[in-house]
Amino acid sequence: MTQTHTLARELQQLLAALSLQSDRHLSEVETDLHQTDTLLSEAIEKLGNSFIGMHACLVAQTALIDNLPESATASPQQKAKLAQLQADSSAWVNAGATALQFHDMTGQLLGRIASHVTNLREVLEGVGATGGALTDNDSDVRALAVLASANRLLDAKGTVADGVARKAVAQTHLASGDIELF
Amino acid sequence: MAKTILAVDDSGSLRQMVVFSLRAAGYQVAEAVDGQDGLEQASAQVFDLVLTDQNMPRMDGLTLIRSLRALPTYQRVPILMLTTESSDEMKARGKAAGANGWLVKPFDPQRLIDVVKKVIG
Repeated sequence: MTQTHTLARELQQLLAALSLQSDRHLSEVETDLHQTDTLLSEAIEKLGNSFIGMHACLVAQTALIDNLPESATASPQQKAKLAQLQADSSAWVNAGATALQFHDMTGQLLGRIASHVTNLREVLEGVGATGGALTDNDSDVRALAVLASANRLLDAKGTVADGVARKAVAQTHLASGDIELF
Repeated sequence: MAKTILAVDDSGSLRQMVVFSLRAAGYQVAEAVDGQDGLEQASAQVFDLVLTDQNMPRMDGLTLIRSLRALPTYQRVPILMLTTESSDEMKARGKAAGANGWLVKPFDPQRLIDVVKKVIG
């Protein structure tokens, strides 16, 4: 009888502690994820705006140079240099516009991480509730029944996790992706 | 008169890059924040091209394409997917839904312009 009491009590304490400590860690993860997302969103907005502003300045600068009076015409070498600089600028702008799309991909990945964290929290809450369902006086049979119930809950949560598991972002670098016309 | 393009994506930064790229090439670009918004805007005005993401809240890209293809005014309008999704299975689903092309993110602005020019001139 004493052994039965010990099993239920120890199991109860283990599950409750597991649930509590995991919940604290997950709360920190969620807070940091949210903060990361906020910082990324603000950074990308500011980067995007300054990037577009720089491009507008470059276009205006080029137009101004093109419209300089004849007397101010540059030498052929200078013209070639200007043309080269313009081509270089366009290439840098295109590379920047490609790289700035990191936010879309990291945003999707953060959302996926957050979904997994939410699912993990629900799993752990279930584990905690299992501990709460036991009392010191419960028998082994009762403890086993509660554990079986917890296992069924985990199976169900596993099915939910499978639904979140599909990964839409496979990119591991920021080179431009494939194009296919049907 | 400039050709009109509807850019559908839930990522504001991505839409910003699409608009930046296509406007610089002389296109008139409208933005929609998800498939539902895209469908509503496309129902109110016929665009020359629709460029849509796949994974979005409220309505995803494939559902948007099917909904647009059900409209008489959009049976011949080119629709391109611009998405992080790159699997052959998803591409096949896009083609079956009525997409005319599949562009995997991130996109290079010049390559995007080249494709759009090839599709709508």
